[in-house]
Amino acid sequence: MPLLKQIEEAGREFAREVEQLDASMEALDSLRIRYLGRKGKIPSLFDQVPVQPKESRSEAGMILNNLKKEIEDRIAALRKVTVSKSETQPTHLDLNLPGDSVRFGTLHPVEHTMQDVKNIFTSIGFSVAYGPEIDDDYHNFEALNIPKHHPARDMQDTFYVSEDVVLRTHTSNTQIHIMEKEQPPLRVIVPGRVYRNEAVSVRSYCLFHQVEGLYINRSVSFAELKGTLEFFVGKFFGDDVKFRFRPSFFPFTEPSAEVDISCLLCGGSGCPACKNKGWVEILGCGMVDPEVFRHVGYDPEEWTGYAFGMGIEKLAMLKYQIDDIRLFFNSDVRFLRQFV
Amino acid sequence: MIVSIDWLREFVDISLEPDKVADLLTDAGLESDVVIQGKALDIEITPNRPDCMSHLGIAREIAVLTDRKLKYPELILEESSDLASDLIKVEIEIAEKCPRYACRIVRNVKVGVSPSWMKDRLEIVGLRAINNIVDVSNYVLMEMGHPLHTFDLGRIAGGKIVVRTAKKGETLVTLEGEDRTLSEEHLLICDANNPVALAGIMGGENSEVSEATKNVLIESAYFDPVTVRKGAKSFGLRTEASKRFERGTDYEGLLRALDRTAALLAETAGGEVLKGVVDVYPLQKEPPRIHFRHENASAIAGIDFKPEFVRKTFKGLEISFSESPGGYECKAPTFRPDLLRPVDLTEELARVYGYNRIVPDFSYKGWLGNDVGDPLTDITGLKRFFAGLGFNETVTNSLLSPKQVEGFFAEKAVRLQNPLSTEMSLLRTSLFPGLFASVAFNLRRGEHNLAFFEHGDTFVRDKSSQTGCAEREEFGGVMCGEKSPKQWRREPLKNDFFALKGYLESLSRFLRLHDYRFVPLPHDTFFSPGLALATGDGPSVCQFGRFPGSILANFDIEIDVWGFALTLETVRKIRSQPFRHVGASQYPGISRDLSFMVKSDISAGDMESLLRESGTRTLRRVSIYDLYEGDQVEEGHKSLTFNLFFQKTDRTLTDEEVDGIISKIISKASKDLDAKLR
Repeated sequence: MPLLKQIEEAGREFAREVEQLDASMEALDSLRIRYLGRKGKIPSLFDQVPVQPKESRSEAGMILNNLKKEIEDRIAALRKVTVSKSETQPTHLDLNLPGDSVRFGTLHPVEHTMQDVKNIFTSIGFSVAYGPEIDDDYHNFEALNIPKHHPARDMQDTFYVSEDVVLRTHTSNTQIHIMEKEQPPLRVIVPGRVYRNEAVSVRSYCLFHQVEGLYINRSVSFAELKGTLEFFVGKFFGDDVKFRFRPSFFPFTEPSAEVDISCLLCGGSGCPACKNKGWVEILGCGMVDPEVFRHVGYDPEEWTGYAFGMGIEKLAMLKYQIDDIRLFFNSDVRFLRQFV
Repeated sequence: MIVSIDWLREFVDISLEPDKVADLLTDAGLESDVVIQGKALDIEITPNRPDCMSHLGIAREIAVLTDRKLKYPELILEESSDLASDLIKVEIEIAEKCPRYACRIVRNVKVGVSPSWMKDRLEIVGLRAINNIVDVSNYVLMEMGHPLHTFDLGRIAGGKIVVRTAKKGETLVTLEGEDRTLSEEHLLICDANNPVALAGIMGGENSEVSEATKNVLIESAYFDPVTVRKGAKSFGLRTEASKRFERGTDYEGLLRALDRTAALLAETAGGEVLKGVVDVYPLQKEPPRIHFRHENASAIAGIDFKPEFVRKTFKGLEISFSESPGGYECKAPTFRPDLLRPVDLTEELARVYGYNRIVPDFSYKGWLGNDVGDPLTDITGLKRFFAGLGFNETVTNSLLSPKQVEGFFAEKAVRLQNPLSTEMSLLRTSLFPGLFASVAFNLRRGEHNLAFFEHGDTFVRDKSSQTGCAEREEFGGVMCGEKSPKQWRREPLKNDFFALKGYLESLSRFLRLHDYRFVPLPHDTFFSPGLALATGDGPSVCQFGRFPGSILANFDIEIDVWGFALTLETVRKIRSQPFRHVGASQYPGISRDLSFMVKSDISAGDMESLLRESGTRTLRRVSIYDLYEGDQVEEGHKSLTFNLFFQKTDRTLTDEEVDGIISKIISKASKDLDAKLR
């Protein structure tokens, strides 16, 4: 059969096959391979072009190219139709079956709270430092102006490892280590684990976590301490929470203060959670006592500073409304899994 | 401390409602609550304010805060003509521990019941009425804050009071009937022969006032705070007297309290007050001079103190002062042992001014040149990584029992001298005991599928360290049960060895550690079986494996538990390496599967490294996807199927090239490991 006739026949056959095509991707693919594939009809027709008589060669080539183009376009058009059909076709799969479950873990509420606190203070230029949990009496007490046999030691029942070595009762020990090493100005927070020799109960545990803050510079004022802590409380608890600055006593600060916030449960009107006071104490603070500066060799005439310390579990208890401190330490997964 | 509002009114005009008084005191540093139907306040007194442990002291605070005048109790004392000093002599052997001892004698008292006004007031503040003699000393204690003691003079032998330290082994039966064995740290009040009281803490039974008492000796002394505190602590005693002496009492005001007691005794128990006070004062005390500078005080407080406010406040607090350049020369009253330095006076001013009136200053002073940021940021990253894999972070008690640390360097554990109980007497030597306790706690509650990690410090004894203890930062985890239960299209995923190994392989990718190996653990580790994940050139990144049942038995755990411990030092070193990205190949790769039959004792790891070595750099990935042992293979053999992926970064790879590499692999596998292609 002459080549032109074969081309014409191939065109007709393609049209017939398209008419009978079932609308599947597989059928469409096989059609494409049969016509356009490496050993398909169109390439094999092209193979015959060079052996045609010279005068009909260019005509045959042109007609064949047109057919190839036509087939390609048609297949492309059919592909679009097939895709959209297969997407709207009903499926037998029950889509209400659950997806593959993925169990992810959690960070501890102390860690969440610690990160919140760290983020707030590092955002206003505090660096972060860590110190030892076992320390000597000097760094935990003496240098902080809490001499042996002073009634202030009653405020912190202490675990002793030996006569002169204790489990730190606050992260303030690290204050001293830092000041012994560094020269002012300084702006640092110290997170960490601390210990108190107190019977375990709903309200107290033998250990907890603290973040201590220390800022030393020329002419730091008590009003700046108040401003900084007010900023912290606003960021941590929200701006609606009321803030109260109240005189208190700590041997390592003078003047000293405690910060109360309005009770998050009753908003300040008084409820059992705040013992009807409307206020909840959240931290202690004050201006670094000159006696502390004397111990680390800073000149109190030149430098002033403030310090503050807060209990992380206490903040977490307020924020997440947890009423039993022991929940932080018994690893109950039903508790831990909530802190995603 | 409970104070009666009615009682306060004797010393200051109070026009405010009780809750307003409580607010006022709270805002000045004396946290107060209204109690007993508004009749009293419960006040928390900080250790620096012994002066506030009395009605007079609280009244002084109210007077200063409300701008009223303080009225001291009226004192009408009639003395008889006989001299007290004829009946009693006082000798102080150790003046540093008792700088002043004063006493009076009231003769011919009639011991009986106190008048009801006195009993009522004592009852409100929580003291039980005993008899009119003891009640008077308690009344004056609560009124003026100075502890007094009354002796039955008839039971004081030799007309003599001796203040001395106890001899070792000496005994005294104290008022509540307890026989106390003493040592040199105790200070005693003695008569000519025997101890009659534990100075500043509690009287002795042998000199107690009784119904038969005729003549009373009233003691009003100043005892050294540290001595009283040590003595009281040694017996676990805390009395109304010791609480005040250990904070520092008023060495001048003790005479006024003595006179007041004598006058009240005469009033309520009859009797005559003998003439004169026997006052021995070997070590005169004097409050320090304080050079107060106005400008400094204002700068530290951040408050602009007005001179008239300063003077008025000082007057109200009974701080004496005279003008000096830029401030005042001040002297604190003797009832305020806490006021020693200018900054102490600044606090007084700020407190009376009102902390809540201070305008907050949030002027940020810029970068100070110190390091910023958190050195534990890398740990935070690890925590998030393990949480993402399904581990729950936990925080466990670092105080453990001897049984819990068994098998974890127990012999080096740091022991507490004063633990809450033996269950919490040792510091943790490893994170694992706490993690096992966590597993056990949850197993008892029916939670079997668990994965925990913890980051924290562990402790061992170490003579070379200054505290005798070495502290180590650790990061470890445990897991058991299933990671996820059976589901409709998936078998359960177990928390077992290969699950853990897979997590740690992911960890090495997280750390960007591409060159790593698994090596067997030395025998002295807690894992059995276990492996170490190590870097290509040696150091361990992590140890992991199964815990022996013998250790788990100490926690009543009967199932398999798997765990890991990171070597943070290596992890940090790897993490600190700079990271540079590698370009991905633009050319297609070729994937081939190969199944080998090998003897059962050839490990998959051996096969894998052989493939990697002979595959050259063109072999980009090797993974084992089938392991078969059974009917289809020869006895004593197994079949391992690998998927190999070949790719070049600079050009397209041809099938022929891959065929060449594969035939080399096959012949090497056959030669070295006797592996046959299936």
